[in-house]
Parts: sequence; structure tokens; C-alpha cells
Amino acid sequence: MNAPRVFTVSELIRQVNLDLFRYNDIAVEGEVTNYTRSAAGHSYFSIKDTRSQMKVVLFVTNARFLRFKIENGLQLIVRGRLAIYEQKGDFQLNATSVEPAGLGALQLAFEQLKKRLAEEGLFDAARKKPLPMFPQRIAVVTSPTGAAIRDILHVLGRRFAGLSLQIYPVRVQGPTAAREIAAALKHLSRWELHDVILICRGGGSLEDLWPFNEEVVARAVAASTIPTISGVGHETDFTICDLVADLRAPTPSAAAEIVIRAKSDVCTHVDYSVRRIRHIVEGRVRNYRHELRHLASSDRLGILPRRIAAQRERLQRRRMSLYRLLEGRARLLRRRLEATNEPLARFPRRIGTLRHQLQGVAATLEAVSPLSVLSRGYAIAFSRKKKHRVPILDSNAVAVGEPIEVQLKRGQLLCTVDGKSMGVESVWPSVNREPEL
Amino acid sequence: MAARTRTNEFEKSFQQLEKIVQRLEGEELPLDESLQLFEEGIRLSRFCHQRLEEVEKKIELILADAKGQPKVEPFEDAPVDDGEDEDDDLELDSE
Repeated sequence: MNAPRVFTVSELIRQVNLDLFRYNDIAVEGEVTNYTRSAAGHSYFSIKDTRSQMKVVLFVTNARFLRFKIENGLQLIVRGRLAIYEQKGDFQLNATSVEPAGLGALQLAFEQLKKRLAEEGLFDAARKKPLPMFPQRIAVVTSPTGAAIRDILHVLGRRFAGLSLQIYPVRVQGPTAAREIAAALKHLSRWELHDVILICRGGGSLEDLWPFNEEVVARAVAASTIPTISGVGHETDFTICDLVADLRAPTPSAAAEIVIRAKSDVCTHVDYSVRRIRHIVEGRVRNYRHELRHLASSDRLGILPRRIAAQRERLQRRRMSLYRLLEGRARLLRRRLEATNEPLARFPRRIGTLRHQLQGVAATLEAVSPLSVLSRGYAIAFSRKKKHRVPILDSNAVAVGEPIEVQLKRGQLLCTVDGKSMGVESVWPSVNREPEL
Repeated sequence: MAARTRTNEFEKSFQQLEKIVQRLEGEELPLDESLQLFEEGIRLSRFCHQRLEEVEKKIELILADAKGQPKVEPFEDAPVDDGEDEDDDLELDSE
């Protein structure tokens, strides 16, 4: 009987591990189950098929390069080295790399992040910020030497008035790209110097576009206080960044087009509004003016201006004749004034003549005055019957016994008629007759 | 905040202009009121145009300095400036 060799435990495990060396680099496909992750970052899980399962360890040194997240139920192809864990004797696969079965790893990572962010509501239309009416100060997060910025500048080139463009330079591929893009978005969002942020990159492979599928970028885009437009890759490329951004443009050129069009649309609309206002108001003013003219030309109102014109003409005529009159007067007075020198000199002589004439008139007056007759001894008899003294010219005018008054040269006599004789009219007293008194 | 305020101001003027057009189109307003609206509309449109054109055309680089403050630098190789094509197009456009 050959007694079996007795190993120590560690001897045996070492021996078997040596034998397992031919499984030093194998690949196994199975479904993930019992996934856990240690605080240090090592991943522990099992893979199984319908009949069996085995343990897998993915140490942090290898897990670091993983794009996607290992989850229970995931179909994986695990590549690594088969070994027995010496301390516990567990049979396990030490994974050097892990890949999803079917899909590519990047594709899987994309789907996983997309699903997660969708569940969080990061793609919801409700949380998208509206673009400003006219984005004028534009920030572009992109590579300053890439194709994207060239395309953008080409589109803006000929219609660039009234826009300012500031490029935030970042790497758009490679391991640091995602962090740079996220940092740029954080800064721009804090500064608030721009109306809109364009996040752009030209076309490339899924690997090239990868930074725009990383969670840190997605989070930064979602957190931006400034509206974002994402234009990454070609039309068929869809990135997480596209999904989170407020607007997705199919290409960088299209993103620039959106910005330009917004501005020219606003311009057009302002111009249209002004034309419209002008048209309406001018139309109304024209109507009023027309109506007014119509009213003014109608007979009722037409009278008024005509009457005013007539009055004005009359006034004018009067004013003219007044002027003429005044001028005539003035001319006359002026002429008189000019002629003054001579008449003034003649004036004393004229007074002398007048005084002489006056003396003549006085003498005549004296000759005919009744007083001068009285002084020659004649008297005048007046009737006293009436209120006024009336000279008695006829003896028939008085009755006997009637009081009469006789005016002498000096003083008066109050008499009574004693008797009277009728007679013919006296002849101027003859010398031989006494005056009958 | 400056960018946002500017934008808000513009959008308010723009909406006011819109409202004026609607009022003038919709109602039979007294003449002097519509003339007032007209003047206001012209003023608003001037303001809008001024705002639309007041930003100087420029291309620059902007990045954060060590303290996280914005630092603006010239963008040297702007391909827009090399383009004689663009100039030609401009002339054609304006004809």
C-alpha cells in the first residue's frame, strides 16, 4: 500500500498553485453576483453560469482603469490568473482586466451613467434653462487649437457684429480633459460674465469623445448657472454632455448657428415691430389729416376763414386810410411849421390892423347905440304891464291910468298915463313942436 | 450678475415693444395716446438696437488665474482675421 504523501497545508497550496500556473492568463465569462467593494477600492465578486460559480478579485491597481461600474447581473469577461488564496484556501480568479460581454466597455459605461443620471432627473426638460433672447457674450469651452473653434469662428465670421467670443481653453481628450472641462464650467458659472456657454469638440471616436461622457462633466454642466449649448462630435454622436446641456447642437458649427440666428431673429423682430408701429400710427395720422382737410373745405366751416379774410382786408384798408390821413395832417403841419418864420414876423402888424378896425367898429356901434340917443335928450317909454320891458311905440298899446316906465340917459321915471291922443305916426320931431310928454 | 441684468433689461424692452405693437394693432386708441405709444416704441427699438450692436466684436481667451479670477488674453491665431473669403462675402451680402 502506498501511503500518500502528507503535505503541510501551505505546501499543498503552493504545489497546486504551481500546477495552476498553466491558467496564468485565462478569460472566463459569467454573470456577476455578490459584488462588494472594500474601503481600499478592491472589488470582490463571483461570476456564475447556470451550474457553477467562482470567486473573482479585482485589486484597486487594476480597477482604477475601469470606465464602467461592476454591478450584479452584469455579464462579464474576466481575464486573469487562477490561484488559491493561500491564507484561506479559496479558489479564485485574480482579475487583471474586466470587460463587459457583448457591448464595449465604453458603451456600457455610457449606458450606465446615462441610466443613473436619467433616474436623478438630470436630463429632464423641466430643469433646462431657456437660452437668452440674444446671447451676446459667448464663452466657448474647447481646445483653442481644435477643429471645433475653427468651425465656430468660420460660421460667426461674416455675421459677427455685436458679439464677443471668449474661449476657455481646455484639453478635449485624454485623462485630464474631463476635469479641465468641469473646472472651466465651474469658473464661468461663478463669474457670470457670459450669456451662454458653448461646450464644443470636433468629431472623433467614442474613446476621443469620452471626456464628454464623464460624470464630472455631466455634473458641472447641470450645475451651470449660465445656459449651456453642447456641440460635440458629428451629428450621430450623442454624449452625456449633450443630454445634460440646456440645448444640444449636432455639431460645433450648428451651436454657432444657433447663437447667430438668435441675434438676427431678434434684430428682425425689432425692425418688424418698428415698421408695424410706424405703419399703424402714420396711417391714423393720415386719416385724421384727410378728415380735417375734408371738414375745412366743406361750406359750413369754409365760411369762417373767408369771413376772417374779409375782415382782415377791411381792417387793412382802414389802416391804410388812417395812415394816409395822418400823413396828410402831418404834411400840412410840417408845411405850416416850415412857413412859420414869415407869419410870425407879420403877426404884430396884423394886430395893429385889427385894433384899428376894432376902433372903427366901436365908433359905429356908439353911433347906433340907444344910449347915445338918450344922451341927446330922447327918452324911451316902456310898458310895465308885461314881465319884459317892451318899448311903447303906439299910444294904442297903453290904457289911461296904466303905469309906464321912462328911461332917461341917467335914471328912470315911473309914470302913470293921464291921457293919450291917437295920431299918425310921428315924424322925426320938428323944430317947432314940443315933444309931447 | 452683470450679464444677466443686461439680458433682463433687453428682454423687458423687447417685450414692451411687442406689447405696444399689440395695443396699436388691437385697439382704437385716441390719437395722442397712440402717438405717445409710437414715441415709446421708437425709443425702445433704439435701445434694443443699441444693445444688439454695443458689444464690440472680439475674440479672446479667458481662463482662471491662480486665485480663480478671470484672466483675459488675446487670441492670436483667430482664423476669422485671415479670411479674405469672409470679406468678399460681406460685400456680396450688402449689395
